[in-house]
Amino acid sequence: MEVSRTNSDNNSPPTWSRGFKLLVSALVAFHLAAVFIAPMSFAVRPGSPAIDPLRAALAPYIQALYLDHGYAFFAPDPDPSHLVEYRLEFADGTPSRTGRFPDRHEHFPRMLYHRHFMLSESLNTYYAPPEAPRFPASMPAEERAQELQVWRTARARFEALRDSYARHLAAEQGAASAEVHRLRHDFLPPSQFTNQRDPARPYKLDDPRTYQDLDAAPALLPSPLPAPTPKFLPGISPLPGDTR
Amino acid sequence: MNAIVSATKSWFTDALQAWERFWFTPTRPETLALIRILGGAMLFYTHFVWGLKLNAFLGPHAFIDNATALQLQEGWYSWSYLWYIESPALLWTLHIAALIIFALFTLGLFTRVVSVLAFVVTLAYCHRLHGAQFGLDQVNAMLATYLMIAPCGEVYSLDRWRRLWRSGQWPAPRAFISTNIATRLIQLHLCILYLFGGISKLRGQMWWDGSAVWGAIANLEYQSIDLTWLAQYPWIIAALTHITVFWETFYCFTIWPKWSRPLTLALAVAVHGGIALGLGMVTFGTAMIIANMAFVSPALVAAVVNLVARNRVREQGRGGESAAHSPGSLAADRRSNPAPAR
Repeated sequence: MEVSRTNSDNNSPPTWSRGFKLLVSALVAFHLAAVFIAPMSFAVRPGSPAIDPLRAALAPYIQALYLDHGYAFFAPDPDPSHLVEYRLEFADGTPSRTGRFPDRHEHFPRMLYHRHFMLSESLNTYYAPPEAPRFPASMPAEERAQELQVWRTARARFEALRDSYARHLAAEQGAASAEVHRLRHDFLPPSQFTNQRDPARPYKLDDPRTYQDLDAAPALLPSPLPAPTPKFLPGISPLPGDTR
Repeated sequence: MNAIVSATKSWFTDALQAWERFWFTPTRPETLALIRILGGAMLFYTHFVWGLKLNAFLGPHAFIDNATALQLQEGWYSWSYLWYIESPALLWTLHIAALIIFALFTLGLFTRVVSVLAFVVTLAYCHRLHGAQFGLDQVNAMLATYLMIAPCGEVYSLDRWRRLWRSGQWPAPRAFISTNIATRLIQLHLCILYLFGGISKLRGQMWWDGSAVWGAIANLEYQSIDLTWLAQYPWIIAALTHITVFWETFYCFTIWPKWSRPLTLALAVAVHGGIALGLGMVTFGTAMIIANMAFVSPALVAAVVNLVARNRVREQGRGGESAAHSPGSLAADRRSNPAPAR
């Protein structure tokens, strides 16, 4: 493919024909378009009439080459982390056992710990509430049906993922069944790490009060930590999809 | 009117010539070879770690079993041979084969073939292990894709030793256009990655009010070094936050000029080094630094490697003349390969 002469043959550098360069240029431009459109489509969520058609056209290439990323690392803001807590029930009378992952003491090396961490984060990412969303009466029936289908698909995927985790944990530890819950681990404000900390509130990163069971029955939920007050610059409204 | 037409024509001609120079200038192989060694080692380690709990991640009763993995990616254009593997024995056989491929890739043996296999295997694991991945896998896949395009085993490789064995003399490193194209693709991919990494942060409040870095420091699940003492110095947290988001957002502009490139790369090492040491993502931080090496010129890489090689030879008590004939020496290169500047 490439005309390359070793420099011991002669001193002229390798060359490509103009036609071949045109072909390579087109391929390169196509590839870079895919590399760009992938994160762009994340950035313009829920959608953009300019980007969505391009994304749809390039989707096979983007997904096949594992380019489908938003690169939104710790963005728009660093989030609390999410863990998985599980309870194992045994058929032979062994007392039930609870566990949690990721666990830095159990999972070594660090990359293995991080893989478990990503599994717990994925379970939260895929979460869809058990109840169907409610829609305003003014919403057209067709749109309502579409939104319902979106919710059904999302909920099915979450349940499949959760149940897959449960099957693995039960199989791994010889249990009859496993129940999986999502935990959210809130981080503390800097003031709790200075001499101005409020001793009535948590001031250690692993204080049990900083963990919230997101799947517990409402009556069992501990008092949540006060949520940080959203702060926005004067005159600037939050963007769609902001969680704060 | 003629002046306008002439100026327009001149602009198009200049643009085409710039495109030609940017993409189609033959480039020496040292930078890409170094990325191959380091990126290949990272690929090997990444997949070695999967093997520590292979059944938990890929077995029939994995955290995300094959059926669930397929359901999560229903309608996607992804594919993995691992979806069809249920036998633990076959799984282990394929996994060991994958590790051998990554080892050969790192060492640079049969590189042209092995680089393609490394790309296929990398993507297969990425598609199968959806749900357990993070930024490291994105960078691994990026490097595996682009290293496949070029002869990245041209130097610093067992393939070069094979050519010595066949020809009886050290082959001069050859400059290839494809080497340049692969390098440029890594560079531009990084620019796009950082651009969207930066502008996505700009949509958050914490990256503006200076508290975002605290959100990482105070996250116990990420923490590998306790930096909560920085709470006493909020101005440091804010400075780190602002520098990070501005460096990331404007990376695609500051990485190109010669005067700002060293500073941009130094900040890349600082940011990713901080991620590696402080947030426990040693592999991700290292992989990003490896990718950033695409902006280091092959001449500089060769000079550093030759310096290290010469120092090691001197330490072993051999003369300077022998060092001039050591593999990849600058003197040997100058005799036979006046490669064009980048």
